[in-house]
Formats: sequence, structure tokens, C-alpha cells
Amino acid sequence: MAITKRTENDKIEVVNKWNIQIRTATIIEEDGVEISKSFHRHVLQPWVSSYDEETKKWSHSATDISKEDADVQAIANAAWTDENKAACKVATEKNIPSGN
Amino acid sequence: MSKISVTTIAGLTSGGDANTVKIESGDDFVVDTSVLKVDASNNRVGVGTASPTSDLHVSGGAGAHVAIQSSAGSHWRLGDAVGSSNGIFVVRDHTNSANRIQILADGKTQIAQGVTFGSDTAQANTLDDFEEGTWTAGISAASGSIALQSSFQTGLYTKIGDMVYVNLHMRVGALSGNSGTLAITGLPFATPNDTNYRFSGACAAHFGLQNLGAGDRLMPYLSSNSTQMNISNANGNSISSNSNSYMVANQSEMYLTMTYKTS
Repeated sequence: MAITKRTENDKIEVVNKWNIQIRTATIIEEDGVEISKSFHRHVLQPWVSSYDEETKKWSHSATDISKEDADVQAIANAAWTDENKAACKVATEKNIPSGN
Repeated sequence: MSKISVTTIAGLTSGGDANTVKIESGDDFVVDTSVLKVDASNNRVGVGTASPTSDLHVSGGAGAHVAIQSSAGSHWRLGDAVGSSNGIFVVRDHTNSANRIQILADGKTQIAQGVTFGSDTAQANTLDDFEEGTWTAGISAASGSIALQSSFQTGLYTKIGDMVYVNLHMRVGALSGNSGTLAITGLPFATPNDTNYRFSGACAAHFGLQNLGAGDRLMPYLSSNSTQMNISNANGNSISSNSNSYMVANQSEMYLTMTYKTS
């Protein structure tokens, strides 16, 4: 009887052209037969954005994807065209925090 | 050479059995041993088996199935997943080469295109997803540095259709010079790119927060095209401040819940 554990990105979705939604499955198998599967999720956007309430300005720094799996990097690099990255900034900056 | 072996052929030309091939009561009808078997003693019919165990018993190798085809064009197949050895039952739309329903060996049922209720056919009203899992939260401040303790940054999510429910028990593990907007990052799904969609949740200041004044209520909110909850201070009738990083200290804990829509 061999129990093995492995992870795989079993679903990578591009949403709104620039959001990369990654589902990572953790699969436990006994003699090659799956006995358990659980999911973990994270989302990548082209920018890490923040709003400075003192200057009333947004700042955007490029998201570091160097530690992502190769399949995720490939999709992010394909989806994050200059046009889509610019559109993401515009969409984010529509969200001025309330009271400002 | 093929042959037909019968004991009696009755009523071939007249009477109530006219133009009927009739097997006398109690006698079986067999074609090529097991291609077709009428088990008269048990009132069963076998296709592919000489020993039917149900009223209609269809037996075959991997991918065995029954076809139901109408002259109107639909062609459905019910049976074993083609090439499968683990007993998956499939309702297959053969016309469009798509499996519509699958019952797995452990009893789980997969419905490919979702479920609608009553006579509804609208895609918007189709329940087409359910998922449970975990997500890893981060924390950010507009300036300075702040981080969560690694054992207090895993949240749970449940997604039903396009609605996502998340919760988190978080604890600050390190911080230095933090100020400005406080946000919880790393949500498992992004919100739609539509400013009509904004959401608020609940935040329980569980332990070790500081500088909370009378009437201060921490409230997480989530904007469009976002994967982070800003933590605001709702005091009185409005959100009085988003600059709440000063409220957290090392070891501060909060419980957060939110329900929001995703694309």
C-alpha cells in the first residue's frame, strides 16, 4: 500500500482579461487511486495597487510572478499584454475609497 | 448455417395469434446464446447476457450502453463511460458528443451544464458551480511593513454559483511603521470589473487592537476588480476613515467574513 501526495494547478482561469485565478488541487492517492482531493486558490493581477489617502493618488507596482509555477507564468505572460495591464489600472482606479 | 429451433409455432394465419410469432408460455427465446434472451420463467429479457437478472438486463464490455434515438434528431446514450473500468454511469448526448450527467463510482453526480429549477432555462439562473477550499491571506498597509503570522493567515471559502463566502481568523505577526489604509489581500476570487458590485462584510476585533474610539466599528469592504478587503472604520453614519493601520499592533487578531460576487 503506497500513499502519495501531489499538487497540481488543475484550473487556471483568465477572468476580466487580466485576473489569473488559480486553483491548486492537493491529491492524496493510495496505490494510484485518489482517496482525497482538496483545493487552495489564489488570484494574480498584473499590479499590486494601493491608494494613498494623503496624496489622493494610486500607485501600482508590477506583480512578481517569478515564484509561480511555469504553467501559471505562461498564462499570465500571455494575458498581461500592455493593453490589458493598462485596462486593469483604469478599472482599479475607479475604486476611490469612500469618503475621498 | 443458421437454424431456428422451435417446439411450437401457433396461430400463424388465423385467430387471436394471427401474424404473430409466439413462444408458448414457459418457453425461453434465445438468439445466439446471449445476444438476446427472453427468460420466460423469470419474465426477464437479457441483451448480451443469457442470464438476465433484471426485467431488462443489458450486458457488455467497457462502454456498454443503451441508445435512445428519435427521428427528430436527438440521440442519447445511457451506460458505462466509454473505455472506463471504474464504473462511471453516463448520460451522453451523442448528437453533440458530450456527456451531460455522470455518476461516479463513489456515488457523486456530475451535471455538466448546471441545474435550473422549475421551467427556468436562463443561464443567469443556472446553478453551475460549487466549490470549497482554502485561501492564503496577506495584509498590507499604505506605508510601512506589516505581515500576518503564518499559522493565522489561512482562510476558508465556499463558492456557490457566482457567490463566494470567505472567512478568516488573522493575527498580525510583524509590523513596522505601518500607516494608511489597512487591507486584507489574497482573496480566492476577484470581484467583477463593474463598480456596481461592491460588498461589505463583518469584522470582529478579537484581540489586541489599539486606538479604537467610542463608536468605532471596523468594517471590511470590497470594491470592483479587486482581490482585497479594505478595513474601514464605520463610525456613526458613515465610513469615517480608511486609514486604520494604526489600529493594529503586533499579535492583533481579527475575525473576518464576507460574501461577494465573482465573475
